[in-house]
Amino acid sequence: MLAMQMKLQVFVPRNETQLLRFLSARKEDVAIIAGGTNLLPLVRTRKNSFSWLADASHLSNLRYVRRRNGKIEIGALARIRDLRNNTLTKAGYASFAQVADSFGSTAIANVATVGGNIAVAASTSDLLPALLSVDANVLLKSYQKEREMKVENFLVGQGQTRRQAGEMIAGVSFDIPGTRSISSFRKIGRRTSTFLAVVSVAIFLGYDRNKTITQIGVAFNEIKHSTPGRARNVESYLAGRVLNDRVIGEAVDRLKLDLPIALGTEAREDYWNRASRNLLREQLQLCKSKMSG
Amino acid sequence: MRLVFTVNKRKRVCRIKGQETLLEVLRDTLGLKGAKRGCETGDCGACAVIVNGLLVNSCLMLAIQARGSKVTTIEGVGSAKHLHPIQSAFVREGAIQCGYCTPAMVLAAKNLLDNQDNPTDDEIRKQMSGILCRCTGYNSITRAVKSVSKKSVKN
Repeated sequence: MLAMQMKLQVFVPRNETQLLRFLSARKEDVAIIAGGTNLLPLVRTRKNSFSWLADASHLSNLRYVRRRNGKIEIGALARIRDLRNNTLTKAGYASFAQVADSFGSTAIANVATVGGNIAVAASTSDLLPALLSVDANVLLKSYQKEREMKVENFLVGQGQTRRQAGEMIAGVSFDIPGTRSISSFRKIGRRTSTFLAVVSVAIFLGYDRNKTITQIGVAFNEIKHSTPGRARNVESYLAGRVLNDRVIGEAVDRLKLDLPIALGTEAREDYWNRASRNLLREQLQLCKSKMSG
Repeated sequence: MRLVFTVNKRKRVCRIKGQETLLEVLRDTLGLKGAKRGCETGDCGACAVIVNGLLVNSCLMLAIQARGSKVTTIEGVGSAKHLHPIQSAFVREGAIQCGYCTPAMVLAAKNLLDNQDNPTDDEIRKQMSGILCRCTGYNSITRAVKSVSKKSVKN
């Protein structure tokens, strides 16, 4: 029961400004709750260091998926189920719909938020590989200022980000892709549905009329320090090439250069290496056939 | 804190502690024991209820987050004398054993059928996949949901 956290108090702000003011005053002593799917289990096991929860779930101005100024913008309080809508898929980002389709159970996807999934900075986050693959920016707000940075730079380590005390994640944004582009996301885990990813990969690929790759993003749920990250060696190899079986084979071999990652046990590392290679090969083959189609 | 919300079409006003979950208020304050306490991490789904037309795990929602909401628990679906068509189908298909997951299963099925007249087996399985049945009655549960999919189950 949550009741075991006797000192935990809940603040319900009237609007975003009041929330930011509260964050500014309480600093590390407050956590924002919206979906609660990660936070409440944490609180229940007393693994929290804060004594306040600020409920942001009703702040509808932070819940959007929209096109604006040549960008796709997603608000921090957009629910994962909101990513199933066609704003993203119409813009050419099927990977986000695939994230939403494979994201936990219906009950979890109904309430889990984009901001929450980014804030946990965990290898179990399905959204982070998709955001990394499209080189997304994260918007951070505090009572005094706003700042923006690459999601890649925002992630520091497992559960660690560059969010400062008093700041909140307000949203993410990334470019609307050209017409010649493909994105995909796939994960594997211990259950056939409603599961946390053991390995996941997201790919974004732009190409020209000769099918030469002009833009590439390949991201995994664990690449270094057990956090989601981009497979830079794979990306640099693929850039400027045309996808064929030989190129795909070489790209998969390059994945080992984006390692090592420290997963703790040899067996787990062996599993991760095999699974990640197979997923990468499968998704690149899928991209190849989509480009041909 | 003061919580005002609607549970099974009845307005409720409760005094709650800020950190209380919706599950705790439903079970311990309102005495609605249909939603079950299971894993409390969102894995088992036994606590599922419908909030504003969406299936949610009530153990992962603060009660205060349900302020102004319309909540449906299993107590608001059918009655002992007049079972809801989904409940009848669960009985008919033998989709119940220990019964611990059944309230959540029925609500998940209702939520699906309220929004989709004829879901496929895959869609039914996906909807129910967030709720664990340790008696392993998934095939009969899927059959039960399928059997009522063409009938009106809106009530």
